[in-house]
Amino acid sequence: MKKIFLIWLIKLRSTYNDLKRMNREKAFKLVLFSGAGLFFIIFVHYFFLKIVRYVLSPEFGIELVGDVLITQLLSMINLTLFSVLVFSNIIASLSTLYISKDLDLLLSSPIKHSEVYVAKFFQSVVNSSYMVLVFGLPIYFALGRAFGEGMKYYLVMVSMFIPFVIIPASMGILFTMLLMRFFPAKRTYQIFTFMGMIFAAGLIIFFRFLRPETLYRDITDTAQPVFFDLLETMKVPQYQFLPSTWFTHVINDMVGIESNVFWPNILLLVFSAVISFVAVYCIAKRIYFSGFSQAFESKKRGRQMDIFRFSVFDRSFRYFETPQRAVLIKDLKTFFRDPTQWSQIFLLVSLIFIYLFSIQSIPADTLFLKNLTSFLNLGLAGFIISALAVRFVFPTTSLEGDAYWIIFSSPLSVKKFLWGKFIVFVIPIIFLGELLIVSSNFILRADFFFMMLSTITMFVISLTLTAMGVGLGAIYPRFKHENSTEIAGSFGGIIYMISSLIYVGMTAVILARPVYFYFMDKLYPGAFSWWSLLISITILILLNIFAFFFPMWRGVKNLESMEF
Amino acid sequence: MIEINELVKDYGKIRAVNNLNLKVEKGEFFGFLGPNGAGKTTTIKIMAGLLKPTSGVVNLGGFDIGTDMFKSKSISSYIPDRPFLYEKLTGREFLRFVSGLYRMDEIDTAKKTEELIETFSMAEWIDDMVEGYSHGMKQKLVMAQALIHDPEIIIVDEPMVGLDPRSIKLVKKIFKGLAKSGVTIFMSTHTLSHAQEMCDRIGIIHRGNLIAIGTINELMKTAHTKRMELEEIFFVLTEESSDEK
Repeated sequence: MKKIFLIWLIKLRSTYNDLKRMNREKAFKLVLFSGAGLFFIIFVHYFFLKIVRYVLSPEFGIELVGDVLITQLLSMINLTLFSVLVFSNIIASLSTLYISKDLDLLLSSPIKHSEVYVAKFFQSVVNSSYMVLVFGLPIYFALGRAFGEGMKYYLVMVSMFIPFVIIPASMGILFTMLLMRFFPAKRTYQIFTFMGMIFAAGLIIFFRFLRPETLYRDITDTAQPVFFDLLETMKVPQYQFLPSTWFTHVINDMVGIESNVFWPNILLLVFSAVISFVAVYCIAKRIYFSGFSQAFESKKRGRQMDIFRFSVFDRSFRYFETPQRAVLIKDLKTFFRDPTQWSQIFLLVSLIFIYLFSIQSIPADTLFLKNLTSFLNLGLAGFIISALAVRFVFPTTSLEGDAYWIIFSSPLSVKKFLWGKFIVFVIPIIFLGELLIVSSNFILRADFFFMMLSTITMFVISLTLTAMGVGLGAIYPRFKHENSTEIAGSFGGIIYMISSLIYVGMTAVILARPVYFYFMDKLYPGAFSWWSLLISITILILLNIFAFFFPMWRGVKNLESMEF
Repeated sequence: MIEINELVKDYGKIRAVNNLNLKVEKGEFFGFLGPNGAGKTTTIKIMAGLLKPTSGVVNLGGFDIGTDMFKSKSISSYIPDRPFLYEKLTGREFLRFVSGLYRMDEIDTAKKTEELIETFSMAEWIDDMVEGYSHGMKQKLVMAQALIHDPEIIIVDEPMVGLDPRSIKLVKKIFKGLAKSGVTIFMSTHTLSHAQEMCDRIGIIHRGNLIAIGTINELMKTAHTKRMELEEIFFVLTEESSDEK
């Protein structure tokens, strides 16, 4: 037991040292993310508080329907949290129990393997559950406030989270341990990341199709089919063997929706947590270490099965100089061979899908509203492109990683290296930008002026955002990284997001005036000012010249003066 | 072929290389020795264009690395001490990628790749992904990439780390053959027996200063020792230098 604490203590010490010796970049990130996180928690809390209070309020009108809705909502949230917990424990335990760098030291020292397992079990639980705890508790606290519960409710709620988290953790960790008997660790990690992306994409689509905006419609009229639609949509299977169902019963009992179900369900939760932990511990004693060593023994050199023939690129890039072509083909091969990278395309597709679905759901009935939405859509699509660029374009220089010496000790100039990367990224980024804009304009049936305005502007935005991504990625490279998401979340990534949001915002503001005159012209013919359009276009050109060339120029300068 | 004049490199207040001057002739095998933190890797990284000198000039084949960087890089090769490579490429793809960086045409690349696969006995695993390679395999691949464009100068940092005895023997043979054919080799190593066996001349750097340079016989005189072992000479010189400080 002492040794388990020692392992935790080392982790705590490292975190403490990390915080103590934090540089400005890390401190900035910590403050920014904590602020954003806190804002989100408060938002979630008040959002649910409002919903629950509304459903319970007399103006909602229908007796008992409020309780049914709350139960359905709780079941949905609990089941989602439970599934997320199982899945994130599978991913986290793979890393903590099998890939973590300190394992060689721990497993070779005179500590029992089972003790290492227990320490790592709880590390996995913390790593995978704290986000669920942080975002789940505000929801349950909102429920407590809405029902006017006392201190006991909150204490029970917090302590109940422990067994609720232990059960999915045991399930997830057991699944990982069993898998590790058959697959090498690295490949399993890639498979899991790939599955994770599909799972996340599916989850996003699932929530979007629940059409949460329908909650704002008048559902008090039970004669309306929308009420039954909503109940039908929110129907979640209430399987009695699921810990999320026990959790829902306990909460329901505490707030008075159900009665006499508190003790049976809380006992079920606690006993199941203890039994699952002990059972998985016993299994781990038998299979954890053998799985650990077997997994790495079975690591074989793999011949690559490519999704498509890369010789296509040889022909497509024939107009590039030989060194640039070499870098581009290398980048594409490494991207498409790494499931942790290309699987994010699933997220991207689901994002576009949701985007267009949401555009379609906007109740823009008049021509004015359609055109206005089309214009505002330009800004929104710009933000989406920034979000994609920070994930795919910005990390491009950093992804050279520890192999940077190959490029930078070769006779390929930094300028050609960066411009080559720009050209490869700009084509898909323009394609995506135009796809979002043109298809949403078609859905909205925007008129010719808006169609042209947004198509041309999106073309320019895509060019500039790509240049900003490549340029800022070279100004703030992060060659030492564990994975590419870490690069997007770095200080430079945040700077990119902030500057691209400012850029897209400025573009919308600059275009707002000619758009205003266009609308006025529709009401009072002859009000359109060509001068206004010309001035806006001039300012836009100047803004784009600056936003396009400055980061690229600084990026080249930075890499040229950089010491490796 | 290699000329280093008054080279200085500071990391903040710490001087890593202090006024280094040396000249290596064409076809010469030069060994660069020194204890940990002496300034060997810093010097090598400056020569490879990965670090900028605080002051001084490095000339490779008549091209100043500061002003004619691309020309000097195109006639030289760098082999780092730790072989970090692109894990998702196969060995063959990696060689092709490097040949592209040096503007080699397809026919030469294919010919040279086959030649290197044969030389380094890589046929069995060259079409596997780098992520599954052992340290020794990676090291062989890094050496092969360094030779693919027939460089005139090879700058190499600790080449034997992680290699098995057979591979070490092979690398020694290849490097000696290259030097004989006119390639200049600048090698940093901790393995003194290798340096003694392979190098024509040896430079010893300690705390950023070049404290001795010459053939083994010349170094013996500098160290005032009658023993021919480089190990003995090295300890005498580096200890003397430490005492002087």
